[in-house]
Amino acid sequence: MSESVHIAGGTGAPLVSVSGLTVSFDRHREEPIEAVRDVSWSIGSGEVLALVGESGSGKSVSALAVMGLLPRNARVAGSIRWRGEELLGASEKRRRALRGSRIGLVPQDPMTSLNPVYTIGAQIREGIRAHQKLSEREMAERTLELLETMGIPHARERMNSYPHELSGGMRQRVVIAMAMANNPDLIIADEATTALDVTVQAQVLDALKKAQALTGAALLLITHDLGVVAGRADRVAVMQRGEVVEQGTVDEIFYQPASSYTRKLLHSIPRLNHTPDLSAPSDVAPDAEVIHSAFERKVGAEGAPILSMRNVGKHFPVYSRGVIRGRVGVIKAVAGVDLDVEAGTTLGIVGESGSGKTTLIRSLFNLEPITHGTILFDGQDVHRMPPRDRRRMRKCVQMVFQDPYASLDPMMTVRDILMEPAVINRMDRKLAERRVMELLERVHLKPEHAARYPNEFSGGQRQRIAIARALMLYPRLLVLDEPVSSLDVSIQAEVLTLLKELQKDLNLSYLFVSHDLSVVAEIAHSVIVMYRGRIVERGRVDELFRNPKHPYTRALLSAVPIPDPRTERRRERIVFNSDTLASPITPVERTGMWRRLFGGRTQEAS
Amino acid sequence: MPSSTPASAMSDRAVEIGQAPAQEQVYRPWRAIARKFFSYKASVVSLVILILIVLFAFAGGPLWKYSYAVSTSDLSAPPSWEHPFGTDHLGYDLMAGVMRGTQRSLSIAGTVAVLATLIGSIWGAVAGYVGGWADSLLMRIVDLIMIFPLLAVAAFLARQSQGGEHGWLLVALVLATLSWTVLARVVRSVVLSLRTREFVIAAKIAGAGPVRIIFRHLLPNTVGPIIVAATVLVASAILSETALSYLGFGVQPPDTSLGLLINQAQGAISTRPWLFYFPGLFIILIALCVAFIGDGLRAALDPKQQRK
Amino acid sequence: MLAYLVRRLLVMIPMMLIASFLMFVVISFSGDPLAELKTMQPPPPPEVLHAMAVKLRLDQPLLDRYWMWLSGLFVGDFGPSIHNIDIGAELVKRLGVSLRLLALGIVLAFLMAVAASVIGAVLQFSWADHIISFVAVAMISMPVFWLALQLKRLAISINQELGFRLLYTSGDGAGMTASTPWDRVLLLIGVLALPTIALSMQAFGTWSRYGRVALIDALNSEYVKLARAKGLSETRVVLAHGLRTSLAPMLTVVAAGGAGILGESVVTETVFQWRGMGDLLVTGIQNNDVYVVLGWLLVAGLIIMVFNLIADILYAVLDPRIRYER
Repeated sequence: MSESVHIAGGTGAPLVSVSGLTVSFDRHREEPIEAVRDVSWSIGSGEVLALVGESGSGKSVSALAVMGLLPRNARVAGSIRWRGEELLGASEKRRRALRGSRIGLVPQDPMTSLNPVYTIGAQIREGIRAHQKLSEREMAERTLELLETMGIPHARERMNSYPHELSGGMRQRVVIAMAMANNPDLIIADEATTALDVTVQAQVLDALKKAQALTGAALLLITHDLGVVAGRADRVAVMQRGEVVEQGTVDEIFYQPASSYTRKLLHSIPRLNHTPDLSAPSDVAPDAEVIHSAFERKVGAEGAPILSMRNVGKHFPVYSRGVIRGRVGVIKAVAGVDLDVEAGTTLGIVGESGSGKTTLIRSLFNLEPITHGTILFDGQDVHRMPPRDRRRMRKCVQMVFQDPYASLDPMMTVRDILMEPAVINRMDRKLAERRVMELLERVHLKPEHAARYPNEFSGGQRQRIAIARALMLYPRLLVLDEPVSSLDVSIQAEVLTLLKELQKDLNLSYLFVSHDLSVVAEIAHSVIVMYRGRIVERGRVDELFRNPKHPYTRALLSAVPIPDPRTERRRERIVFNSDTLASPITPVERTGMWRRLFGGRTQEAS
Repeated sequence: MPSSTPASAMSDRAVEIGQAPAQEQVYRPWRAIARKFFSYKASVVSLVILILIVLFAFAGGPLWKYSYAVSTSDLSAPPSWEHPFGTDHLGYDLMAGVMRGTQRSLSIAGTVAVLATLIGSIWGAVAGYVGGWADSLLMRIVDLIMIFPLLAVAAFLARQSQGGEHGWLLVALVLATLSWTVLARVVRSVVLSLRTREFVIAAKIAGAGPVRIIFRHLLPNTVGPIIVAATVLVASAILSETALSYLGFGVQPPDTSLGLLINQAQGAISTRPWLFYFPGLFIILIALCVAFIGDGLRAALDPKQQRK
Repeated sequence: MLAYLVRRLLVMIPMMLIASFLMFVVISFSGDPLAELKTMQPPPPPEVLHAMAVKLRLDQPLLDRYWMWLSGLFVGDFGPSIHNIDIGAELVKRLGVSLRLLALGIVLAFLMAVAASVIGAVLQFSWADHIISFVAVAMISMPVFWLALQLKRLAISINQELGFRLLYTSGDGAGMTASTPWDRVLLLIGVLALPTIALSMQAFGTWSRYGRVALIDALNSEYVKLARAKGLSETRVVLAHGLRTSLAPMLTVVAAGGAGILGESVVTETVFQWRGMGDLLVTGIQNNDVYVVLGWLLVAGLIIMVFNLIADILYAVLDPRIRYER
């Protein structure tokens, strides 16, 4: 085991030192665009350096320059030294000898980073073969060892699996195994956990830590998430618009930030105000009935809830793989959900991918008919309404989507986008035109923006346009599907503030879906936690976050990164073993020879 | 009830279809696309050449002193000032013939492109959007049509009712009914990827019906691939028509087309090569120009490059 | 995988039945096979016309005619011909001639397209890329018969230069014999060279353009970035990661082009005066010999379906994601 050196340059030259690095990209018939300007940082052996910045800050560029993987149209100036040896201008052969051997890369998206046509074993072996002379048997053993180290179950069989057969978290662990295959001196993790759910993110971060411990490598952690940085980095460099605005030890950055940008960034992060008490073990069985924390029904105004769901379920069929495909079972994407949204309040739905939260809210709009249950809006059964009432209800319930780049038709002007609900629902045109202007002002945009097209706006502005569209028909309930998760933290805070403001002014009710617990904690009054199509816990926000009962909720809360180094270092993670819950696939009983002949194997639910 | 005057109704309509009162310095997708297209030299040059060819074919006939249908006394004359493209052994002026032939070939290609694009786009959009068994049925029909070589079926059908004043139109109709399937596949695949996009779901939630979603959201966002596929269609229609005419099943004498001219010149490759070169040159030039224009459009309409 | 194959084969049967019926109806309604006979001067006696109509089963209702044709197919009877051709036997003979050309043309076009894609993608925007791209567009824009006629001209002058006939400009080699094995090879090359090149060029143009884009996409992908990050050699990155993954999407374009090539082979065979499927179709159409045309289309449809099936199987072999999904 190597010792970690915390002070860069303590003994001789640092492992990597980047100084005065400027990178610009040539563009076709346009001015070159500068990605980073005069960037300097260094990393010592065994050290963890975090490069933090929002999108467009150029945080990944210097790491790619170290690896020599910048695209061909890049122009690089400055200096990059590897143990004192200048790398800019070094031969491609020398750079290739470092890549994969001395420097391992863990890129952002494990889905697209693994080649879909080769088995994971082949892809790991290929990296070893490029740098070491080993026999096929030794290589296979090394691959197995790496996968086992990374906690891949049934590693021997998994070696022959293709990437699409693994879950996202497993793929990312395979990529980490690949990065550590040749015992590198530096591992670069480029937004390595961004695409993952919190609990998976925690597992992958632990895997990274393990890889670092085993190889003694330094770790360059590139991320937008200060929470991820807090408990793991030794030093932090904050980047903004291609420049390093501040550098220091992790405690300096978090407790005495010097630059106003860092302060703003730290301030914008939504936090769990109440640190959950997870010291005592949970006495609740994972498959217990829904846990009601106290006071759930007492929040907000009196009277009937604006929206109630009772025993709502949605099943998807699963088909066999035989010559004749038969239905062999169903996936219960949503399995009997009850919920109430009180008028004028926000109900948060928390869940990771595959929890059924998106299916649940889409059922509200009848986009996919539900399998069973009732949905009551204003006390009226949505599915038994006469058409006239249904039209009225449609005006009352509107939705805001996750990706503001996908939710606005790029071929329509902002005016047309906002007018569309009015035109469809035959609102008086003059009134509608006036409403457009009024709403643009409400969401802090200018009237002249109405004539522009969506791609002229930033993500935050687009999301505000989407909110304005949802408000066109004077709705009473807004369904917000991860409305801020694709935005940078500083923009996130602005949009959340706007939403709170609108709720107060217009007496709106929100159904707020998010995978991000801290965002839900910030905006919701009460919350439900979903796991595999079921509600596992519900309660008032402060109550549930302070005193979570269900093991899954506890695991979830323990996995949320907290942007406070001292708290982070002390924390312990609770791992929730999902095997204790029943599989969401329920087999359908099939009789007779059909099944025996053509039943085939059941597809894996993913 | 105070009804609005027709004039204001008109302006309302203008607002609705997105032609709001013009404002300067405002980003317009179409203007940006046009600017981008005009930055590709090869495409612009091709566009100019194609326009010249169209003028040559449609305006040249009436202006040129010879007619394609009237022979002159110059037999087998090589290209000269009198006969820039030369004459054949019967004394027909080749330039007049090429003008007429180009006109026919372009008319056929244009008709095919318009018809096939219309049918194919709507077919594909409906299949992709509606989905389910309707999609399966519509696309199986496309598969069925695509099993058979277009040239062979077109040759048989065109042969059955050849000749006459509107013979070329018939060739065009036959080619169009057999070639819209490509468009249907392209549009369907784009629509499939669009229909789960959030802006379509947003429209549905606002209460938009299928007609509005297809014509207001899906097709406008498929314009790029449609235009590009249409240019490919123009080029392949030109080639199919000339091949049909070359085999003797397309446009029939006394009318003429570029393929027919080459067919008639085959025997004289070594003795009167100009008869063979000029029609061929025009076919290649048209197809080449259309291909380069298509390339420029593809680059200008590429959504990957449209984001800022 | 096996289940997938079986399912695909099972789907082909109804597909072919419907297609054949559709074809039969369209062809039956598109014109009167005896139209020309009727307008002959002097007009043939009514008995002759009637006998001809009976022979061509025109006295029967459409569905019966279809049934007779379809059931005949199973015993090798492809229906009556105006000129008393044994359609089945003729089809088999001609198919042998044409398949040689088709298979060679497709293989040649594909190999050239792959080579051109690699050069174009690796040396993107270089002069080599520009030249290859231009040649590809030029080949797409060139009518097959025009190119074929040019090749013929070129071959005549090459033969004159050489002093002996290396390249044959007409005929499919039937009836020609060679004494030594070497001469036999030479003859084979001489007969096949020109038509194969003429046939493959258009497909080469289309496929190489598509292949270049697919390979550029693959080379810009994240998995290629990771492959480079592993320190693999550039050759391995381009071939094992770039080309290998872009072969599958290229294959779909090749499959889609099958019917087109078959049509072009008709033109190519006509230019080089082969007595293959092309000639059979052209004379069949000229003579309004409907059952010849029907038989031809049936065989062509089968060839295309088998071609598509092979492409699908290869796709499943090349892309493991497909193997498991279906």
